[in-house]
Amino acid sequence: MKALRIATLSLLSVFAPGCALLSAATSGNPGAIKAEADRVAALGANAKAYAEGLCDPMLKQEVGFDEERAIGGVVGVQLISESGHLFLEGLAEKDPAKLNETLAKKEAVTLPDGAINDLTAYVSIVGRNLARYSSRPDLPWTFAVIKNDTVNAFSAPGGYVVVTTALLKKITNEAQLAGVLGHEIGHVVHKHSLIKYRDAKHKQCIAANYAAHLIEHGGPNSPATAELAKFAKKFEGKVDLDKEKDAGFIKFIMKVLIGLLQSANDKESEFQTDKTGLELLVFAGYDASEYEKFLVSLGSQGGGIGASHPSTEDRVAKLKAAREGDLKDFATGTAKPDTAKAFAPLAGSK
Amino acid sequence: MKRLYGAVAAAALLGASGAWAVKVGDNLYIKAKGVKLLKEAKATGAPIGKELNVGDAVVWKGPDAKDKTFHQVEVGGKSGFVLMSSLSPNKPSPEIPETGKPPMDAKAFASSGAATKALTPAGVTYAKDGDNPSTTAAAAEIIYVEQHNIAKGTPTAIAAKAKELGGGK
Repeated sequence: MKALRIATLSLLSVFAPGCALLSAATSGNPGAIKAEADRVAALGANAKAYAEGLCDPMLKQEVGFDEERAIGGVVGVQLISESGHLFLEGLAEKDPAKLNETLAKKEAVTLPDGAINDLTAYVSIVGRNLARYSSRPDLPWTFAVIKNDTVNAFSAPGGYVVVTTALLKKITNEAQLAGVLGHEIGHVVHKHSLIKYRDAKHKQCIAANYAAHLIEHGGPNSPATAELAKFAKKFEGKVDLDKEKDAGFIKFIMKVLIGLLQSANDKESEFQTDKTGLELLVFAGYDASEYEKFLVSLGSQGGGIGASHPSTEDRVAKLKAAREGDLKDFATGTAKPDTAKAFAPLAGSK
Repeated sequence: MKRLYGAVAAAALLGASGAWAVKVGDNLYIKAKGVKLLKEAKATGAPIGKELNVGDAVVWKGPDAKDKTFHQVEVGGKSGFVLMSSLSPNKPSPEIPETGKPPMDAKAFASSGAATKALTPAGVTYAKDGDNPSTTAAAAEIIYVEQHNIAKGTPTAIAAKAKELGGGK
């Protein structure tokens, strides 16, 4: 896949208007055409080797927490801006830069008391309690509710977990909510999106440095190549997205990352996630069967030949088997607190 | 009401599951501060030895025959009981604080202040680029909700929730 993309980039560059190969082709001299084609091919091969040499170590380097939280925040901004507004009230300041200045001065950024904000507080307490049973108990876990009529939940690196108002309306008790939050915590714990970020960063490092190397060595220089090449120096040394001030560079990474995030996690990743989610649910003392009931209430999803995700039926069967089998000594909790009071503000929302 | 963002969200609730087991003799980990190892499987049982703390490994011996909310464990050569809700199958993992730096153990990370980290400058830069009102609003909402989580999801509130569910801390 990588080779195909590089080949595509190379061809786009080679056949850009005004390039040497085009000049040779229009000259009608077969010898000149072949010589130029050979030169460009050699340049491309060198550029590929150069870019891979520079960028491949990135695939072995674990992303640190600061960078993880930074990309989580950027992904959160993108997802929330595309999906609606958080279910909050009383936001006095709308400028995030001013809010961060306030925090830097050690002054509080607070929301007023009220049922709507209490709902998020409730989800946060349920989620943060679950996270304490995970292998990453001390992340700055941030749980949020978004106004949206699609029944779903998502997570972002660094500890962000968001559930929709539509999903909360389907939930009948806290054990079901905990099941959903536990699953999302699992994705963060296992760094599924963070691994995709690392891949996105690597792909863009290759693209930028391939283009820069071509230009530097007299290769074709199209506007597209120049656009890629301008980010090459960003990958020299450590890429520290945590302190990045160039929005163009963040977008350069995000362009690939969003595509990767939109592809489903593989079955092994989902296996890990359900395992972790069930563990959290069970050890916290919830009636873990409630999560299975919740999944059933959503109806069939996934499955089928070639599907990357298993069907709901398979999921529920395996969760039940684990709960009644391997986890039977622990899955003795009966807690399923009522959510009616906490969820009351949802009645007035879409 | 906007459409929920693409397949990122659609993927989130879909998943798989499989089998695994904690076996007698395996390690479990203490997930709260100041957990007492009790002589008997009851809350009023006499404490044995020093209190256990977050991340301490204990050897699991099985649930109590009469009250399955208590499990027998061994630690430091002593055997006793703790509430199951004070146990976790997951050892707190080391965290790499900054890309390229060595990992720090979970206890050091916990006291590093990471748990109060707000939306980073990168998030704000990305949000404010091009004066896009929807990304700017989203960034502000994230900062508010981060601070609301910190203000309301306090250790005291979380301990109260844990107690409500399973009696532990």
